[in-house]
Amino acid sequence: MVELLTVLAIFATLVSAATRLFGDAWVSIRRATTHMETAQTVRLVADRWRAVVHETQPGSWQIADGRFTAGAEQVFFDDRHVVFKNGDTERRLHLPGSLAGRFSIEHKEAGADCAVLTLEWERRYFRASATERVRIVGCAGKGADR
Amino acid sequence: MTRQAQPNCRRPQRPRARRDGTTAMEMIGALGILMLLLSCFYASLHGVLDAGRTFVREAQAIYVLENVVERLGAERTRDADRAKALLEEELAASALAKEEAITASCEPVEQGTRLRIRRSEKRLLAEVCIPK
Repeated sequence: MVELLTVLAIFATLVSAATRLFGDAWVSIRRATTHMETAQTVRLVADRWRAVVHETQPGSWQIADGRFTAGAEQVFFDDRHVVFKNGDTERRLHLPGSLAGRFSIEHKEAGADCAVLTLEWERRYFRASATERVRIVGCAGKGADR
Repeated sequence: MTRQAQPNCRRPQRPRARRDGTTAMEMIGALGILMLLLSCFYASLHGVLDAGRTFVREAQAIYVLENVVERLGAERTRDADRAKALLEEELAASALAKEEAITASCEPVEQGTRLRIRRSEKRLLAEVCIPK
């Protein structure tokens, strides 16, 4: 009887551990996929953002209602998308997970003016979570150099 | 004479539990080994997640260095002191600033100036060399 109870106790422990392991592995795989998608999207957004900033002049930069405007160029976030708009042409990039962003303009006393796109997203590690942040700095007057 | 040839040779009697199936000790042993394997798998899963965290830090370090290069390019300078000041400014503004043991260095090398972001002495996160 004691043997049976011991085996049952061990079996129950094992089943709960296996269930938890399976759950964690499943969630981790899903998060890893989202993370890969996020990393790729951040790269694409960074390249496109710098291209927009390089093609414009600091005097035309404006931020209003969460929109960055520079002449005909507009960049804004719209319902899980980041939109790069130039006149009638509109490029939309889907933002995975909790990826979101905001714009700012930095006027430095020493140095060039910069337009900054800050991207933030939540990253979970098992039961803990952390907010990741990336600053993408674009400086004016670089279009001619490249 | 071989053992098979002996007609009256009997195999020794085994305990009843052995004849009927597995003993409790065997069962406990098997479950113990299985638990050990599961815990190893769980530990490796943690290892993979730690690696993922390192990749995020590396990506953030690369973006910091890209920002420094962008700003140096806009200022049209390759001065090492200015590069160091910009590196410290960008690192302080990044998410890496709140991480422990993150250090940035700016060293003059033969080709120009080398900017590095490290996590501890051994772990290099990202590096860029600005030519003279």
